[in-house]
Amino acid sequence: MGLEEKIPDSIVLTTVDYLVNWSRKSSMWPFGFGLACCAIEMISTFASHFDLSRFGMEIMRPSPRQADLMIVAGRVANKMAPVVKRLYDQMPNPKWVISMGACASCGGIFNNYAILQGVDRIIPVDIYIPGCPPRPEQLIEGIMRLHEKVMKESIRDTREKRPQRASA
Amino acid sequence: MTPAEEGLLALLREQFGEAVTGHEKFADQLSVMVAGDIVFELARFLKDDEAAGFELLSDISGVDWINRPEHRFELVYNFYSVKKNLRVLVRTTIPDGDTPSIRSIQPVYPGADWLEREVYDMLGIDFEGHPDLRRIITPDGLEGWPHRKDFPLMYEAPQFSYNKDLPPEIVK
Amino acid sequence: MTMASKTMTLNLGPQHPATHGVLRVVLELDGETVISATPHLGYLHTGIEKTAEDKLYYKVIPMTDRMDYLAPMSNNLGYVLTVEKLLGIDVPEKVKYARVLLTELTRLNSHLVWLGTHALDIGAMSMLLYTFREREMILDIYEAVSGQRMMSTYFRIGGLAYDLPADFDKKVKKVLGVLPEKMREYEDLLSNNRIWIKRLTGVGKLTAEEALDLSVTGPMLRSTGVKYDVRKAQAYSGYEKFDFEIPVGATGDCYDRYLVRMEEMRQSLRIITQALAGMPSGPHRAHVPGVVLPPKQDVLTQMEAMIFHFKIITEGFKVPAGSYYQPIESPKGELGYYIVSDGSTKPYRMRVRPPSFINLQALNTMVTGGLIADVITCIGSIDIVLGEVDR
Repeated sequence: MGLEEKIPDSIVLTTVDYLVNWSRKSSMWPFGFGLACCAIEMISTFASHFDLSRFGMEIMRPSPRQADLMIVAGRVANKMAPVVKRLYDQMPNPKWVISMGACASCGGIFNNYAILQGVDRIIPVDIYIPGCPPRPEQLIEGIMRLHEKVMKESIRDTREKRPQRASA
Repeated sequence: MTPAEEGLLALLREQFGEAVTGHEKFADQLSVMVAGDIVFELARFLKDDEAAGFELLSDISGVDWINRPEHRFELVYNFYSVKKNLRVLVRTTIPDGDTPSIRSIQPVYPGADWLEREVYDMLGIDFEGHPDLRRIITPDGLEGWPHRKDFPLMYEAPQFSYNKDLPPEIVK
Repeated sequence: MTMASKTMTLNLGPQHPATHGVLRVVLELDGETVISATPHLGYLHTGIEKTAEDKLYYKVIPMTDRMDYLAPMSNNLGYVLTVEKLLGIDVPEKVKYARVLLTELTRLNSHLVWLGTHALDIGAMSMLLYTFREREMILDIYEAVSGQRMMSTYFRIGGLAYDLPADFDKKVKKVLGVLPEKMREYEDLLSNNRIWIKRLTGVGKLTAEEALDLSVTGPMLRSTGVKYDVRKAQAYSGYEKFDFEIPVGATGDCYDRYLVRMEEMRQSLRIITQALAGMPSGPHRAHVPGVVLPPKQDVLTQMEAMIFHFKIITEGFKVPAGSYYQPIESPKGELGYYIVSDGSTKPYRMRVRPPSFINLQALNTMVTGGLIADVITCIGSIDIVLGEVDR
């Protein structure tokens, strides 16, 4: 019953929002921004044991102009902070930021003159992943939650109006 | 003390006399205390002289003894001889002042280049004769010398629910 | 009319896929030939040495893990050995064997990552996937032993954090069984490969004289022909009981460094076999009341043990005044800890002699006169870890 029976099989019905979000999350290209120890766990996640290629993310673009997802992996020193901000500004919209590890989220175990206490002091962050370093499974969970968050977006939203919680 | 170490001490005393102020042996580590102004000649002697033969400069460390103004900065030069398997720590002190300084040993041991730059960066000791003395690890605009004891650690108080809307407070 | 030519300045920025972290190198180029290469450091400066002056002695151990994050257990070993020397305590035999075994596994870990990333820079991308697959076995052992995959903080002052688990033997035997064959595969892929040989021989040459002048240590120094390894020269933690050789190169170029590190991996496997076979049984901590934590069973049943445990955790222990420099052979070179104590419960000064920082000084000498691609090869061949360079 319904219109689906009258229509041949080669037509797909959906909304524009769903289609756009689905295509954005299925091939989000990460920006290779590994700073310190968390970068090694990020590389392990890209390697063959915990494959990240199943999300369509196996290409780590070195250039910010070709990437959508910035994974800040590692401690951000005060000397590096302007560089992080500049690279974030060079990324085209839509862009997302994952702050991986304790040092990127809040300064971690280093509470001193040299480390920025959390990368969210300079750029807006979507997902925080705790751990020192977080296991590859935790990074994959963070990426899956980011996918859920992306699915709830609408193409009319600006960055500020994005839904704040990843899951209901 | 092993015979090699006794031989080295005798050699240094014979060459430099009064400037070698003392020595100490703690659990297989030999330290020789010298006056600051002969460090350059001592380095050249240790490298070039056949009987000494210390080819490798392992490390230059700086310690800030803030409670002793006349001997505030202690520099420890760590020399190692590969062919004799002998390690000696040469200690010297620099008094406090506006610009504490000592002669650089970079012309003798080129590897001292970045080691001395780091001591300059962290403690503010000026090395005369260094080709390119500028900050190496801390950001360029930093005021102050981090490893001095009067430079604060800048530990920020963690933010809980009662102070999360206030700006972060630096505690020590 | 005369033509003047200027050199071009190229910035190999802090964010780069091939600089193994946040290293910035400013190159002066004449066409494609490099005239000078100046590294600019400090983009990962963490202030670990200053922060260590504010913490009790045992609280510094997790911070030392994060310096050379590819070989975390060797950093722990250096720190723990220095403090034990200052305190004057001896550890049981089992602790020495376990420390040697785990440090050699750490060396394998670090060299596998080096091989994967170095090959990735040269262009052999699949090596990264192979070496990281082998590395998972070693991370499995770390997790079984301490609960953490990378920053295990397993060595403590006076012994180990926990006793070795029951399936430790089986896991180490698995590594010993799988790794030699895989290493033969890697050598088949790389050692006689024409592209590999062409890109690595003659690049980044250092003579023994230049290397000693620049204070270079580790596989870089051994590839120039100087036979200096701290494990043999100033043996620590029981290394004098093990039978192994030190590979030495001849020409000092990148290909020799590759061969030296591959052979070091084989020698590490030899040491691990001997350590596993000869592992004695016994306590996993020294018995020094007031300094070393008592075993947990005693803490739960006896009063003095509980009081000691409480006092050590809250107030720490006092270390007699003095200073000591302990070098160890980390996978990157001679890692030294110089700790000055003034008789209180916190270190007065902790200085780390960072091998990557000092080896990086040689970059200018190595790449002058070469091409830009050689800069990437040389950076990979020095094997730097930025966490240790900037501390």
